[in-house]
Parts: sequence; C-alpha cells; structure tokens
Amino acid sequence: MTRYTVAQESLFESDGFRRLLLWSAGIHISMALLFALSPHLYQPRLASTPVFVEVLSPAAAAAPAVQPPRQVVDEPIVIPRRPRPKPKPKPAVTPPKPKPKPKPALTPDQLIEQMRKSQATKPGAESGTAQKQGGPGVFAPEEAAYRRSLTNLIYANWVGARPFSHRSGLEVVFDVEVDAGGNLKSVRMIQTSGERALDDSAERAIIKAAPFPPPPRSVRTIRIRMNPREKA
Amino acid sequence: MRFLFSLCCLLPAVALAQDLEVEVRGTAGRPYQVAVQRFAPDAHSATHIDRFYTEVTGAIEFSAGFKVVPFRAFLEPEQTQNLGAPMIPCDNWRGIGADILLEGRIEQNRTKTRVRYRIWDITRCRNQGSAAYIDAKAEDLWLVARQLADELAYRFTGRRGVSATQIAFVSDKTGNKEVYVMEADGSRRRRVTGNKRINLFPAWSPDGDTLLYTSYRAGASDLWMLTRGKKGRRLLQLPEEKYRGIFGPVDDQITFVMNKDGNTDLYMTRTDGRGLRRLTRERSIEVSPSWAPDHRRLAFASDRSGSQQIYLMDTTSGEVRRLTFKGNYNASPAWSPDGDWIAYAALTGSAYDLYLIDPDTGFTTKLTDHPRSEENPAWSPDGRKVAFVSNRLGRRDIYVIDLDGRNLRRITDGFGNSSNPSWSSWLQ
Repeated sequence: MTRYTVAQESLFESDGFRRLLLWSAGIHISMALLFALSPHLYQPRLASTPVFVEVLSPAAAAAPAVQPPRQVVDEPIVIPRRPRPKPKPKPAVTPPKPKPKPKPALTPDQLIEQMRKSQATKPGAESGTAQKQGGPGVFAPEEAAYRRSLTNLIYANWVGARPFSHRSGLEVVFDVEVDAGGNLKSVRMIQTSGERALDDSAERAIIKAAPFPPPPRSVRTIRIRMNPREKA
Repeated sequence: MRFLFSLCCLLPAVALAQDLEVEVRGTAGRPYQVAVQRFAPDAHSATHIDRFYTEVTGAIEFSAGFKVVPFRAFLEPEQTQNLGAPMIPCDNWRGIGADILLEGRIEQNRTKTRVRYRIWDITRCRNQGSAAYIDAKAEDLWLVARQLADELAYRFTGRRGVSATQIAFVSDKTGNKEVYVMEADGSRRRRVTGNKRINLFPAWSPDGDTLLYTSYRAGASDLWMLTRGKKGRRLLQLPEEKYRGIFGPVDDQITFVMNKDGNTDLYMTRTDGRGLRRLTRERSIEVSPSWAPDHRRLAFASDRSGSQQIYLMDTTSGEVRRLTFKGNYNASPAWSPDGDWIAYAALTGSAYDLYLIDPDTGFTTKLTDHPRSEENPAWSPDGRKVAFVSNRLGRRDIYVIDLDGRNLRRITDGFGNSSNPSWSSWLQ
C-alpha cells in the first residue's frame, strides 16, 4: 500500500498553491460582495427576543371578513414574494415504484435517498429543486426532508381551518425564526389571508407545532405558506 | 496569508446561510379542545352552577368544530378559582391538550343574575375575550349559556355559533301536520299552529321574528304569516293555490310557488301583497325557490328537461342555467348563507341522499350517505351545519350534521313524523 504524506511548510511555500489560494480568496470575496449587495440580506432582521408579534393593517383589523387577501406591510421595505418554481419536467427515468402518491409514506432517509438518485439521473433538474427549497442554488436533500417534517407537523396541528378549506385564494404567510435547536424565537405574519380567524388559527398551528426538529445547517428563518385548501 | 486562508474557510459558511420555504396545504380537521371550568358561585348562585355547566358544554359541542375536555383530564381545579387573576397557568392547560379555556363566575342577588366569563386562547396564552351577562333572569340561564357558547365560537372561527338559534318544522304528533319551533339542538319544542289542518313548509324571516308557512286552514293551499306575539294572518288575497313561500330576495319580499292557469311557476311579491311578479314562464313545473345571499340569483327545481333538476336564475339578466346533470330527480335546493354551496336532495335508487354543489364550478360532494332517505336540507345561519329529514330509524326525524359530515345528531325523537326544517337566523 502506498502512503502519501504532505509537508505543511512546502505546501504554503509552493507558488502554485499560493496562486490557487489567491484565486479562491478573490472568488469568495466577490461572492461575499454579491451577497452583501443583494436585497436578500436587506430583509429586516427578526427580533431576537422570544416574543410573538402579530402585525395587521388597521383595515384588516376593522373588517377582516369581507376584505380580499392583501399584503400586510410592517415596514416601508416590502418583502418581495419569492419566485414560484416552475413545474419540473417529467423525469426521464421513472422511479422504481410508480405509485400515485408515494411521498407521504417515505421516511426522511428514504426521501433523501430518492432525491439523491433523481439528482444523479437528471442533472438539469438540480437548479430547479434548489430554487424550490429557497436555497441559493445548492442541492440540499436534508432540507427537503426537514421541510416535509415541518409541513406534516404544522398540518397535524392546524385546528379551525376546515370551514375555509373549500375556498380558493386564501393564503397566509409567516416568517418564523428558529434557533439551532428548532425552538421558535418569533412568528411574524407577512401576508394575511383576509380572514382574521384563519390567520389566527394558522399562527396557533405554528406555535403548537413547535419546537421543530433542529434545522439543517445555518437555517434560522423559515417562510411558511399556509392554505386551508388541499391540493387538487 | 493565514488570514486569507481562514477567510476561505469561513466564506462558504456565510454563503450557505439561507432561508427555507415551507408550504402547508389543507388541515387534519381536528376540532378545538375546549376546557370548561365550572363557574364559581357566590353565596346565592350555587344551585345554578351544575346546570349552567351542562348547558354551556352541550352548546359548545353543538357548534361545529369544538370538543369539550372532560374534567378527569384536568391538572387545574374543575372550578374557577380567581376570575380576576391577570394570568392563568397556560402550561397546565396545554399539557392536557386544551386549545381554549372558558372560566367564569355566576353572581345572584334577589332578582337578577350576573354571569361573568373569560375565554382564553391557550396556545398563545392570551385572553381572547371577557365580558358579563348582566340582569339575566335565573330561568334564562340556559339561553345565556348558549349565547356564551356562540360567542366562544365567534372568537375562534369568526362566525357566531348557532346553539342559540331555532328550527321551525312540521310534525304530525297531534295527528295533524302542525308547525313547531324548537331550539337548534332539539330542546324546548312548542307548537305554533293549532288549526288541525295541514300546515307545511315553515320559513323564517331574515330577522327570525316571523314564520311564513303554507296552510290549508282556509280550504285551499295558501300562504300565512305568523309573527312572534301575534296571531297568524293570510298573506295574499288571490284565488290561486300557493305553496312553499320563502322570504326574499329582500326583507319585505317573498318568493313562492303558484299554480295559475294550470301552470306551476315561481312568483314574488311584497309582504303587503303588492308588486306581484312572475319569475318563470315555462310550461314545466318550477318549485323550491332558494335565494343566494347576494339577492340576485335564485335556485329552484324544474322538470323542464324531462327530469327534475336544479336550475339557477340570474334575476338581473333573466338568464337561467341548469346546475345539476346527474340523476333523474334532484330536489329542494338550499343556498348556503355564505353563498358557497347549494345543498340538495338527489334520488339515488329508491332513496334520497344529500349533496352539496358549488354553484359556480358545479363541483359536487356528498353530504350524507345512508340506505334510507335524507331530504329537505336547511342551512344553519353560520353555514356550518345542515338540518335535514331522514327516515333512517323508521319514522321521519330531523337531524343536524356538520358540513364535514361529523357531529350527526337526531334532534327530534318520539315526536311523530317530522319534516320541513327551517333554521332561523341569530335571534336578538
């Protein structure tokens, strides 16, 4: 068996490595500048204290029942809606079990495995999947599993939404801040459904669902879109 | 150089800092769990406490989507200890799975009773409403309990509960078909007609103060009105036979079926008898009118296609559209108070089942499914329940069911054959 050893001093002293290091630093600094200048980082930071803040416009508080869904803005900076992912093209390779709805039965590990397989078979779908996860272009199967577990938790704890479930266009959106342990630090509504009772029930569902599982990597802010209508 | 090296290691972590987006569609449909404490008594009200608890918990469970937590699960006392406390031990209520806590106190002086209460959102540990019913009579505590339960439903669903509303219906208990009124849960039934003839199709006015009904008391089938505290009066001095009147499209108008010149059509008029207007002009039979809450669209049943189907008429444009296409006999359309659904009875085989149809899209879903018949749907004013008639236990009884198919209750029992339920609005 051949053993490879690398002398630290010689590595730092070599011109090739220095050039490589400089290139890497340059790329990373330009990436950092790009991110720093992008509106992404200008999103208002959430309160670090564990308080639950509910923001409603005065009009929404006055007559929530008859108002159409509207944006609720708590600061002059309007948080732009994230672009919705376009429907993915059908995979060229069919999955081994072509059941109509296999997803709910999958464990997170199976899901990760399945997504890895699909990633390997269709590299073109990578960017679309990552975009759907809200990530900056990095494929992260553990995040997909985390999203699924969060969806299931909140779904199971959502009480009081049933009377609204046949109506379309009712969507309430929250930005939720969690710590590394998955504990809820703040819940902030950024878009009302127009139905005060539904908004309240959705907020209660998030609070009841907490604590969440520890989030993957550095995820601290989660945007939760809630719609009482089942997918067709 | 070492600085650059550490920068290289740290920057990828910064670049990977990201948010997640989660989408939740639909709901498991679990009901709210309501913990209700026995209200605290004062020196004179102890006799009311248990009765009030029974009334208020019964009324809460009657509302769609609420379930009362039994005492045996409580970690806290069964009875309210301190109604003035600024905070409650929410963790102990959360621990037993309660979403809501109702606590209160009943005070009694010589003639008057005062009921004070607080409703807590346990999840957010927030007082969701507190108030008092003052100057209530002790004998009216059952009604206070229902109004309180309806208020609780409002705090969590945005719509008042319906336990303090009434249902009018027809029963042959005395041997004649007479009109009766009962509370929405079937209690406190009393007869409101006594003419010993056939009385049918009671329909409430929007304010819940007047009943319009069809009666043969003067010989032919005619429309009569009965206002609370007043004697019944015949509505229209017309020789033709008239049936099945309803209030609408607006408060002082009624819409009804009239058989004129051998043709059965829908007409409308004002309650004072003026402004008679014919709504349908087909040679076929048009019956069972039901107005949309927008007062512009009218649902009715017609056999103009050869089989009885549900049709919609836009009264501003006069346009008529067929709504149901399945089955050979669809009857008794009833438009929901929020306008989202039309409930109707469809003949399947030899029995009727109740269906809900979206008047805009035609999407249809089955509300009841039983080998025996379900007919005559009538909506609760909050649009979350439907009262109907079924013969599933032999006799025709009135049942109520939540819109999601849960909470089915028979509300007439041993009361002859009952039919034609009409659900009142919220009463003042």
